[in-house]
Amino acid sequence: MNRLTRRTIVGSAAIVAALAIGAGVFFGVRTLAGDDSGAGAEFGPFWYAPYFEEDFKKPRLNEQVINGILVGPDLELAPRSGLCQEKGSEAQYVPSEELEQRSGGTPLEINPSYLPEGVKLERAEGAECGGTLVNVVKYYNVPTRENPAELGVLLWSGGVFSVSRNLSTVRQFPLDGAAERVAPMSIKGRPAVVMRPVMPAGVDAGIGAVTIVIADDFGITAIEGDGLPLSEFIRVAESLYGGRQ
Amino acid sequence: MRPLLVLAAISILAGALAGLFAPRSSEAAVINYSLRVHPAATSSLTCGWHSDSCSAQNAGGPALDWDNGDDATVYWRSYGWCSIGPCSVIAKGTISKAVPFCTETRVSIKDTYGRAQQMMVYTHTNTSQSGQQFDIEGSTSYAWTPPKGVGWSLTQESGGCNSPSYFTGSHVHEWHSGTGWTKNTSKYPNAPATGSYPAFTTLGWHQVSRGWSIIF
Repeated sequence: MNRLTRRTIVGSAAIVAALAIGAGVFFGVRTLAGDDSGAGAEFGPFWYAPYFEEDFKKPRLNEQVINGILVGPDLELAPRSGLCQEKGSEAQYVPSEELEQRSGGTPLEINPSYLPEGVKLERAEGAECGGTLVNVVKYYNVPTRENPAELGVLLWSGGVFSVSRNLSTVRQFPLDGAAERVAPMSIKGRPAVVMRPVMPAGVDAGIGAVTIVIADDFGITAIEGDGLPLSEFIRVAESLYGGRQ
Repeated sequence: MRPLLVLAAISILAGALAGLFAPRSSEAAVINYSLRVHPAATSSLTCGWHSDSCSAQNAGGPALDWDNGDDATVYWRSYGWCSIGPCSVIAKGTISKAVPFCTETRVSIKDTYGRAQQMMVYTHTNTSQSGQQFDIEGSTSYAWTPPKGVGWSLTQESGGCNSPSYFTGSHVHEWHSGTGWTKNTSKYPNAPATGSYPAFTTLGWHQVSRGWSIIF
């Protein structure tokens, strides 16, 4: 083997080695840098599902009084023996176009002073008994919101929630879910119960449903739904009672 | 020896820079999804499209009323599609019970990464499965999700809702909530129409549909 041939072989080997090193570093750096190609990709497809499976296996809430409110899975919304029966009349629909005027200034008015940006009223319903408004429900739509600094990381999963107010002399509300997610709380000094949402991997983005039940002088106020972090639902609940949030 | 070391250093540097800044081949991959939700009870329509109550005055709302037996099961029924397979699961449905006035069983729909694809609501339906999640299936040629029991029809409603204005016997007031849904108005008429329809597994006889995309 002459000197020229040896130099050619060594040179070729060096180039191959250099390409191998470069390729190795390329893929190593890419792996370490993570895959930013898909929104939420860092969590993987359906990353949240195992947390719901685990939660559903946990001991369920049994009927009990929490903060003066009777809650449990098989309860009725307070109550069949309420105002309608006292008035000897059946509940009737209140046309949605009349609802704002009829509920305005009454305890059943639903007019939160705080709604997160982008949350929109979807529809409103109401019921009356013998001319007295006994129920108002408003459904709100929550858009999805991602963290602009971290592609694919959800701040709000988005979804739908309802705010309802019912005249009642009985403090009770149907509530169903894992017992460990239910706790007493206070909303602007009023006794309340919260069923906090499942928070997969600790992510509080509204992927699971929340319920907040508030005992009012007139009856019950409830927020039920998903799409927002729990702290935002609490702010909405507090804003039902006026003042800046 | 020195030229080899320089070559190795250049290789490492070039590899690292390319790894960090070179475009990824998957950036442009977009998968489109379609979900068609079918009626949840029997195939007997007791009221066409309406809002609160079944009357011509309230025609055109988001709900259809479907007859159901006392305590009869209420099912999630759907077809799912994706543009690029495999996609045996296109979304997850999460069941929850809510009682704003009448009793609602809600199914909240979340996509691959947890984003909302809105909600189906089954009014006058009770459930003991709050918090349970199930697969919403799909394929590139529309896959049928095996009917999933999400609750049962009430024989008597709760509180003030147990009134003839709202409840005249077991039925499902099935409606969609949130944005982006398309009502199948070509198949089902407005209130107060009634009738019998091939509403279950027949492709095209869904109640509502929606689509979304995910960039992978």
